[in-house]
Amino acid sequence: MKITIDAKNKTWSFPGTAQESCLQSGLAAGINMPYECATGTCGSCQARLVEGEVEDCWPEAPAREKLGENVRLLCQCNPKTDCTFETNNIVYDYDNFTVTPKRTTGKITHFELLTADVAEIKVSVDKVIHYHSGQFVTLECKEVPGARAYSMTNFDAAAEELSFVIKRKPGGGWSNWLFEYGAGVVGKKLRVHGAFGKAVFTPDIGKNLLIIAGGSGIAGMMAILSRAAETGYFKQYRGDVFFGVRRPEDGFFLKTFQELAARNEGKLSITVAFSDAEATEYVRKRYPELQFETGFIHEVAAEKMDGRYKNVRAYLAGPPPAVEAAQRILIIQGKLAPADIRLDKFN
Amino acid sequence: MKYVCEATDVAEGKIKGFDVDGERVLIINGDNGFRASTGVCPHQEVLLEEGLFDGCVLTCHSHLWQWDVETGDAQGLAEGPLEMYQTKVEDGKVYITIPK
Repeated sequence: MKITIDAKNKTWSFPGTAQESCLQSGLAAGINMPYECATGTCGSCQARLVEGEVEDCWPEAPAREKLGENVRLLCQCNPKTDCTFETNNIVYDYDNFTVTPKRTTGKITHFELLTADVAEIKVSVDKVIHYHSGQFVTLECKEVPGARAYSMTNFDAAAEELSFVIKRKPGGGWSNWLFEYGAGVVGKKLRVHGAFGKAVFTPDIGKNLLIIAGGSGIAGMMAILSRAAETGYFKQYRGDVFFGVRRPEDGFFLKTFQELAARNEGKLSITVAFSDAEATEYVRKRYPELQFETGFIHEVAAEKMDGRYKNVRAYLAGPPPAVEAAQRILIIQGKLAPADIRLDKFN
Repeated sequence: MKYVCEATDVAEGKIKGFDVDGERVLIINGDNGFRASTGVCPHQEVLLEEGLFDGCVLTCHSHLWQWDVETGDAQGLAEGPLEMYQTKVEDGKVYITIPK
């Protein structure tokens, strides 16, 4: 049977059985259902039954007395049919898995140039990799010695395909190998190890998100944004994203940003800062949901975030000078606690 | 006490590193005057002069350990205190005592 919970931020569905309460089935499916006692006394799991039939396991449950018509305790009802409940709560899902780095192999399935010196690749892995949004893996190929760390841009709790953005760096062995082959890298085998990284996001942090990223540092942030948007996080919390590149022609993922901003009705604000040029009319018209500024990313973020640091968790990534400058602003101007500033250092 | 620098060498609200008898020390011109500490983070030997300072709290830029510069007490993520040195300013000159 299918149980549906229509919450304020998102509609969740999961399988149920006649032998188990709707609350137990939801928790087992990784949904962070509202509850406290789980035994019919506190009333925290109340929800209005709008469709379907349930078995009321304890009609005299103490918490039942004050409930309105068709309002049930999810911990005390087992489904008889498919059923749908409405709740006034915000309900998120858990990252209900443990991340321990694993080794596997995989192959490149996709190569696409996003700009002149940034490419997206996709890698299908032979064993599922569990990871939190914001984490990275290391990739190795036989043609180039050593492993390189890249953050996943996609979020899938049990991913069989990982997406990355790779910036071509002068003298960079791995990136130059990729760019020289171009689409010819498709089919190349890789060793994959991970996941790693502490700058992770899970919805239970309960804070407004601030993301400041320069260039290909945006990679892991895309997974964080995807994780947050998919779970309806921006119905409850604000998101401020600052993405810095040099010029309009260096911008990438702008279409994805445009779609994310449009979907999140003003709770997610995305600013693209160009350090070396003004935004063109073309980008302004093409991406009307995005804001464009000129200047260094940390300076743009400092100006726009002034006085807006309450209950904020910040994620930083990108060129080390920009990250350090952003870190300085968050501590001195924003008075953020270090525990609320998350970054993984690659320099 | 050992002479470290002129008081004018460290602007108000700023920090600066100096070598004293082969040891790196940090001179802090904070909200309550001059203070001095070891110049090296007790965590991973990073120079604290590259850190952040807001007048009261010193933050190592490397892993964001923080200390109250009045006491050296750890704050936030820091797992240990900062060694502070006795400081005196006389005739515009900053002196400290480094315990042996």
